[in-house]
Amino acid sequence: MSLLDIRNLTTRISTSRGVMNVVEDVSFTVEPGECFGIVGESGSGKSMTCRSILGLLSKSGSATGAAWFEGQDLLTLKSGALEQIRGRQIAMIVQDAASALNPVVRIGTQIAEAMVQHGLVSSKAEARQRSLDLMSKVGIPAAEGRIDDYPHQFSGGMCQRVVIAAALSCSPKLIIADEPTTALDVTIQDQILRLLVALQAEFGMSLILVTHDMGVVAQTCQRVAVMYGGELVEMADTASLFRTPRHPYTMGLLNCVPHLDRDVGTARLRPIPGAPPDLMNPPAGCRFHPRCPLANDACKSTRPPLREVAAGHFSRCLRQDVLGEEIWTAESARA
Amino acid sequence: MNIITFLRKRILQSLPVVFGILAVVFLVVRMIPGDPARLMLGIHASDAKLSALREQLGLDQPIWQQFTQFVGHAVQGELGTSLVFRRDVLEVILDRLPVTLSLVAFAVLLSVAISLPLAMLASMRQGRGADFLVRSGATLTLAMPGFWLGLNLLILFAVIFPLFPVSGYGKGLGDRIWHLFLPALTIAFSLAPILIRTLRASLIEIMSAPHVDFARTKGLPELVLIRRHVLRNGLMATITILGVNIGWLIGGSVVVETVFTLPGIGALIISSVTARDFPMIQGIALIFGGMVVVINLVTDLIYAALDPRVSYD
Amino acid sequence: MTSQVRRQARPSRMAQMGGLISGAAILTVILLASLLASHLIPYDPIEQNLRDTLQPPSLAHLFGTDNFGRDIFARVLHAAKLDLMIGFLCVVFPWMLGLALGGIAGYFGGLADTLIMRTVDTFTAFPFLIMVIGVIAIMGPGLFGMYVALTMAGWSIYARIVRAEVLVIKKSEYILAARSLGYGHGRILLRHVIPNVVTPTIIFAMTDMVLVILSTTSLSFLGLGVQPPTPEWGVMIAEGRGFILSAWWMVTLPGLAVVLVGVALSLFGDGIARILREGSQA
Repeated sequence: MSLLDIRNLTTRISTSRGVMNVVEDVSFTVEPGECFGIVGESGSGKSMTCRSILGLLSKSGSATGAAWFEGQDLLTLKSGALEQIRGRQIAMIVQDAASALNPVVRIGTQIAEAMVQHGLVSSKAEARQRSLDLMSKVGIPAAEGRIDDYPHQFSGGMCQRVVIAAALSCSPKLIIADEPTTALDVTIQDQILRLLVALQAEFGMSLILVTHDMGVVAQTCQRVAVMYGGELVEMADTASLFRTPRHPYTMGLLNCVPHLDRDVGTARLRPIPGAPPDLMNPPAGCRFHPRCPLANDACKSTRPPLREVAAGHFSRCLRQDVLGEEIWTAESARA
Repeated sequence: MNIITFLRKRILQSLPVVFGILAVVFLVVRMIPGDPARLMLGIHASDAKLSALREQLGLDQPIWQQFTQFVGHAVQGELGTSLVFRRDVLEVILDRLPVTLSLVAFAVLLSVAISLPLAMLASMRQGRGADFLVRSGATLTLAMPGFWLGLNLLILFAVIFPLFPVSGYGKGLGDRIWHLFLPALTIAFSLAPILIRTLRASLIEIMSAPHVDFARTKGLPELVLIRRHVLRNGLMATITILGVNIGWLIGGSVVVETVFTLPGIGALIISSVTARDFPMIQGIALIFGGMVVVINLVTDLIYAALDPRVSYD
Repeated sequence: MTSQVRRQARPSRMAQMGGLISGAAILTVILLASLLASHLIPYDPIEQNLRDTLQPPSLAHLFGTDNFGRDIFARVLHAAKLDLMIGFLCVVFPWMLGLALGGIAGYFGGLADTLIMRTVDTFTAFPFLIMVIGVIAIMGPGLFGMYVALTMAGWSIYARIVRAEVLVIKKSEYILAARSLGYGHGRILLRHVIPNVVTPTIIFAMTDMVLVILSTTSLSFLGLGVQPPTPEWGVMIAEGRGFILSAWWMVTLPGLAVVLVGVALSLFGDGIARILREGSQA
């Protein structure tokens, strides 16, 4: 039984220029204890998907479809019921940790907040003790001396640890980490990722890791979904996705990363030509077709469904038969 | 970095302004055409009195020496003798200062009590009916002269519905509060539009801040969010706005004290101007200038104490 | 495209324009009415008519009559002329003074800057009304004294705004170009600097006008500004003060005129401010 079962999630945002579908018909599951990655560029809809699950859309946004969690469809819950779940069963880790902390409230209070709200501690002393434990767990040294400090006294990496501690505080079943390392230095990035993986194993939680960095995914996730233009275009277990990608976009993403064995001597980066689609007026058919070297008439007119193209491996690409390693190499050689 | 160093530094920074205030008040009186002594004592003063005052003020001395003498006296609290009251200026002012201070303090309290809930309402219902109503009300109230508002309140609540006294200061704490209510309310209404406008903008900004968003992911209900993550941050904004507008409050007290016949220094300055009581005018100007400097200092201090990001250096 | 959507409600273009237009309309009507007052209303604003004293509002006397039997509506219209003129002039004078001094301070820097800005600091240390009262104390109560007082109390904020803008403009490309072409300071200041820093001052001037009109009426009420029997809104309210119990219309109705003008100015000012701001950002 999956922990989280997202079915046909579609999220609409109304703007002054019109309505845009920032998430289009996205479906996936997350198993207990699993680390599930969602990869995509800015604007691919990955953050919006997460916010839709927890009902954190602004007034101009609405989500349809279903998000089954422990027998409840989260999308149908009213705010009172959602508040019970947020922080307690499903917690979130955000990108810019320094901004996510209230500058005039002490760290200890912010870590304990969720516990206090959900009634998991019975006294101030207990809250404080649990906060100290959490701080040690996430690797903040000399916790006792720092629990009464304010956010501006912490570095970026430390702030992220605080945010993780806050997310862990109620031992949730699922943590959604929205680009947790994007704002950090590479060395810290690595530390935080290792921490997340370790904590996940220790607490037995599931983790949804949203990122634009394929390297992060390779390091930490068991299964991955690739999003593009609001749609889920490929989904598989990590090894399969990296070894045998079955969508041109995924292949392009993997190609972008410079390979020491391949690219020494050429010194040319291989980005995917073109730009992400305008979600106000998305392209007809496959949303990737304007940038795809394999696009044919069918791609341009019919919206491809997500099909299982190999065991546990899903893709929206209609051109499975002509997918090969050279599609991007030839393209960039021409460019 | 501790409080003492901070205070010392701020006081040092205020000194040029204090100097400027003393200079302006000194020069302004001396700029009146004619003989300052005669101006102060009136047309019918005797020659003996005139020369005595001239000597006391050192009018025959060079201007720099006069100024030093003036500053020296001022610092010691010798602000001259009132022509109208025939008493020491500082004494008269100190007699009446508590009235004005209580009025202003009461007005600040009422003003925050009115503005904060309305600003919160407007920011939470941004762009909708309640917001529009609040902002229209603020624009309307901003255009109302303080004295007119006060008089209308008088007419409504002291004449038509005699709930409050028409004038006077009263005796004893409870009676005084009753007497000060309408005057303080008048000033509060004058300040509220400015306060609401700025506060609303601050609250809107805070409410869309990332830390509020993150707190929401923890499952905190809206009310707890507002209380702990919006209001506390908005408090800084409130204090700054109040500090900046303190001049408005003091100006408001002048008019209100006249309308409600309160024995404060606001009414005093008006009567002094009409009566050409120059020592008194000088003294009140100095006191008012000094009050603003002190209040700005105190605002800075409170701000530093409340915001953990501000250090005392 | 960002995935974070901010909660922002933008008032519709229509609503913004509506404010500007209605504000302008009200002001035009009042202005015209005040200028044509003697033709519109048959009553003389100053002449006394002791048989019709303290009449409540009626069809014959829209705003009632005062203790001297004078028609209040006529007086309100005549007062509009004076109050609007004072409001305008007492913004223009401080504006000019502040523009000049702030421009000099910002452009030349150095000693001029220090001197001027210290003066500004001192002037802003005093509450506005206190400074005004102080100057009137010296000049004596009356119209001229009020002009001087309001100008002296009002210029410093314009100087501050202008200086801040000038400091920014000073570093811009076209000023450097003008200097390298050998243009004199005067020409640069007048032709290039000032026109570009004027916008924020005009935005502020709109709010300032409301404040000035309120101050004018307050001062006249207190007996320090316009003197009776000249019809002025503050003076009229002061005269009505003694008759609160019997003739509330003497106090309440002239005040409504002030409020109306204030609201119209605010609406108009907000509209202009929005247009100017968008223009300078384009």
